[in-house]
Amino acid sequence: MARLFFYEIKKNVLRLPVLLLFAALMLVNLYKHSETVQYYGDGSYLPDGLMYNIYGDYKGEITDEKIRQISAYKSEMEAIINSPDFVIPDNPDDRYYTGFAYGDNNMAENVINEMKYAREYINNIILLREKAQTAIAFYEGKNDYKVREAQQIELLYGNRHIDVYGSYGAYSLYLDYEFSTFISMIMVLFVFAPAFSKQKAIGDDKIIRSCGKAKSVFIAKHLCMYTFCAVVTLIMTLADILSFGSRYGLEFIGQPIYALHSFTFAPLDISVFTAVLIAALMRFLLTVFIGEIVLLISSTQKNVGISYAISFCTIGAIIFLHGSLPSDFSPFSMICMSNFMTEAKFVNVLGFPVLNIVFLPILTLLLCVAVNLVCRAVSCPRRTVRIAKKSKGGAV
Amino acid sequence: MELVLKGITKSYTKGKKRKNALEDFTLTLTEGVYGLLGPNGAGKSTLINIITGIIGKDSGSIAFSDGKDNSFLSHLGFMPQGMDFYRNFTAKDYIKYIMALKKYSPDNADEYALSVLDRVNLRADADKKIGAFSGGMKQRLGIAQAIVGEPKVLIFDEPTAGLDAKERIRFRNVISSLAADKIVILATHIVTDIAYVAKTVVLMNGGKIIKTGTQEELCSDISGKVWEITSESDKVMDYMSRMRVSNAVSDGSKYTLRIVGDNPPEQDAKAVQPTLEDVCIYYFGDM
Repeated sequence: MARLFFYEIKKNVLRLPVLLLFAALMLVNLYKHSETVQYYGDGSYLPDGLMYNIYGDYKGEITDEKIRQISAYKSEMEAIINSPDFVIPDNPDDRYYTGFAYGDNNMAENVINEMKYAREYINNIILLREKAQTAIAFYEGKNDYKVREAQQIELLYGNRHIDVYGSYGAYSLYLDYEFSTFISMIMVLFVFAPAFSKQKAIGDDKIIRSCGKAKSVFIAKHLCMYTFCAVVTLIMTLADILSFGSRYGLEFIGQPIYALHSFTFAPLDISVFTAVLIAALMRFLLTVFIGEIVLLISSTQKNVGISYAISFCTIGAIIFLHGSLPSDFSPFSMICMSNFMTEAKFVNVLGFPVLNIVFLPILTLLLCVAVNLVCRAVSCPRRTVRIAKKSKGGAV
Repeated sequence: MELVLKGITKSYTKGKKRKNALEDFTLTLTEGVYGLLGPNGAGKSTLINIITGIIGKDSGSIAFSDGKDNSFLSHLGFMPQGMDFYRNFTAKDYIKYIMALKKYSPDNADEYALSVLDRVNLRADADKKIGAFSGGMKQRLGIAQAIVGEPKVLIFDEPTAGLDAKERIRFRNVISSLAADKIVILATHIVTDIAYVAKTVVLMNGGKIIKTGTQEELCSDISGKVWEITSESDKVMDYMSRMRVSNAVSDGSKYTLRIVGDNPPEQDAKAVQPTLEDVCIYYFGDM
């Protein structure tokens, strides 16, 4: 099996056009990174950025002393810029972090807002739990599902606090960044659309079946696809994280996910690192799902061009249908963590609330298994398998 | 060594009708080249697909007569019709891939792959990408992959289609060299390929064996049924539409026609020595 796996990698992946396309798409991705950063941020955490110095002084554990200092500094800057004598200077002044009093005022406000968010975070959670308790009381005896849902919320949002002020821009961008997953999907389409079709077109499938290895090659091909998806997802994740990290820094990855403003009401109390890991795993699963569909289409076609065309149209249809399907039932939702981590969304499974971040990956996994079984039935006809086994007795 | 094909039957459903692609096909094969000849739809491909395990059969058995082998398919080398290759593989890579498929693991895999390529005169091109191979080289590589693992039975399905004369001669020579200790089944439309290398010819039609024998035996069976006549050019089409003409040669103003039939086409027709092509024309008409 190991040797067959190696040759499947060689047949499908280690081809010059594949490597060239991947390199080209990586360059496009890097360009897209800078575009995304420009759109969402200003690179102010870079060494020459506006936030760099003030952030350096205040990042880390939030203490009363730091809050007092930054508040005092903010008041000082406010007094300067509100003074009737204040004129906007032409040149930067070394006394200020940013070179300018009004710049420091704005930056200090940023720091204060972040610290305020952290200190007041518990209030948001208390409010949410109170609502849940009210819901439990209200639905008790009327709607069991709603009661269970509220109980889950009360359980999920207990014991939370943020103690650290840090820059989480890199993680924020990564968790909602979709483009690299599109690249992974394009690569899977390009690499695996010919996988079975080419085999049929050149007669290799007949040799494989005459060797009684249709099932082994089927497994090797799928292992190759899983490995490819894993490697591409890993490369994309590292490229995204490192690229965004170069603009915002990569500190405080162990802090809770709700330290990021966009995930204030994240249903899971997990670290940023775990969230990044889950995001990468879900993107991997989405890519595998696409890979399974592409392999199934490939197994039904003898013409490589038609296999490409049908795969392309099918993936297009999946993306198009994503807009019409409930997001909790569309595997394509896994492209972006905002679909799962902005608030607790539940799916009613036989009267029990299941978080969509748990439900959708399981559903996708089941879909993958179903597509895989159909593909197996198409590419390894039962009769061939039976012949291979029977042959051990001497007569076919 | 004997390979016994016994009572193989295979039928398909076409519309509401059931059609027999193979009907009680029985044949015992020993070392040497067997030429499988028959018109389209004769059942050659079905037979090959059944022997190679690509499709199942309704009934019958295929086994070595000594019964010592516990797996018939593991003793099989197969070159399918119209086969091609992965362009990014080198010849050596490809042979090693086939070794993986056949679970064949000699001590020195590289050396074995080179020795296989050597047998089809491709050793010098072992590290060349197959994408740069000519049609003939690819065909020889097709033979090379079939002999990986030293199978006892080799099956070639239309192996010389599209080859030039030189490559076809080379192919025939390779096949002859392999046939000494193996059963080789050669299915082709090109009768001359079989005429040169096959020790036994199997004529098939309608899923059944019509005739089996050496070329000499088959030719002698129709001895006195192949005629040569000289004809004016304006009568050639008439002969062709009424009789089985296996050859027509023009010498400018007149044609020499070779006609297969139980009775002489003209009184002055001259009986000539039959060839394998004449045998095919006699049994199948136009192939």
